[in-house]
Amino acid sequence: MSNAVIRIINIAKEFSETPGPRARDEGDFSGEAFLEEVLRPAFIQATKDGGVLTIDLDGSEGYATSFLESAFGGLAREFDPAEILKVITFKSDDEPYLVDEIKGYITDARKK
Amino acid sequence: MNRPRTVPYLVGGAIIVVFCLLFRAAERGLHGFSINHAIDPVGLATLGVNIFIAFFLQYYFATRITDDRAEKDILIDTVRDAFSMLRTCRDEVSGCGTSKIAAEKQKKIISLYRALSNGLENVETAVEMSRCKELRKDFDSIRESFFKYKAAATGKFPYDASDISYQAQTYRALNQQLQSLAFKLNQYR
Repeated sequence: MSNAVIRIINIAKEFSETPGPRARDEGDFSGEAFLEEVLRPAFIQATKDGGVLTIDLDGSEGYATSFLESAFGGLAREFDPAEILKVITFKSDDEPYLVDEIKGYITDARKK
Repeated sequence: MNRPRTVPYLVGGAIIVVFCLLFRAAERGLHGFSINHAIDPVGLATLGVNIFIAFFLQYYFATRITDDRAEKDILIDTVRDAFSMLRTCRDEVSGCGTSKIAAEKQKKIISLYRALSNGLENVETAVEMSRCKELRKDFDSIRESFFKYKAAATGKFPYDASDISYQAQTYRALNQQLQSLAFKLNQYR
């Protein structure tokens, strides 16, 4: 049996039900704040533990492209996108297209 | 308007009556009619095939055509819903112009794109379950266009002139792809 540590982050419960814009100076609950306060530390911890990080996107009022790109694209600019996709899994029953959208931001983050 | 259900029975009854009269006339040799009592296997087989085709066409093809049309109507209805959501998104976004957009309005825009995303997902799921599942491959480009359109509308607030131009381009692209899908669904065989 696998002993991989699985951590689940529900953005609506652990960050905000109303995720905001791209950067901190543009408004509350930005993608930048989510990356720095929640996503990056959890990703580093999951990598250290050899575990899996599940991002649960359900329960919020919706995500702007700017929030998603800033958070997940931002993570992919700091770490290897392939490693990110290996460690992080996504769950979105409310809006299934979000998963493909986020994976697109992760893989395209370094192309610009 | 629906045809009365009794019509086929009346026509069938009339045909039987005509045949009975013809056989009666042939048996009696009236009006130059005659009847050959020898059984012709080829004629009999032809009759059997004709009857089979008549029933096959009526019960198989007619039913299938009706089912296909009903299925396409359901699919086209879901595409129509997606069109309606797409137009709502366009109207909301185009009403913003280059002025500052209040937080409430931003939330509304984001939730409209979420509804559109789910509308497109509904169409994709319905197509996958239908006989038109071959059209599933069209959704790769539809999804791509949707992501671009969403990025144009929710990537940054407030908008500038180039954002508005990009929104118009990406809206047109997504709209065209949905129209193309609707036409393909309608003509699918």
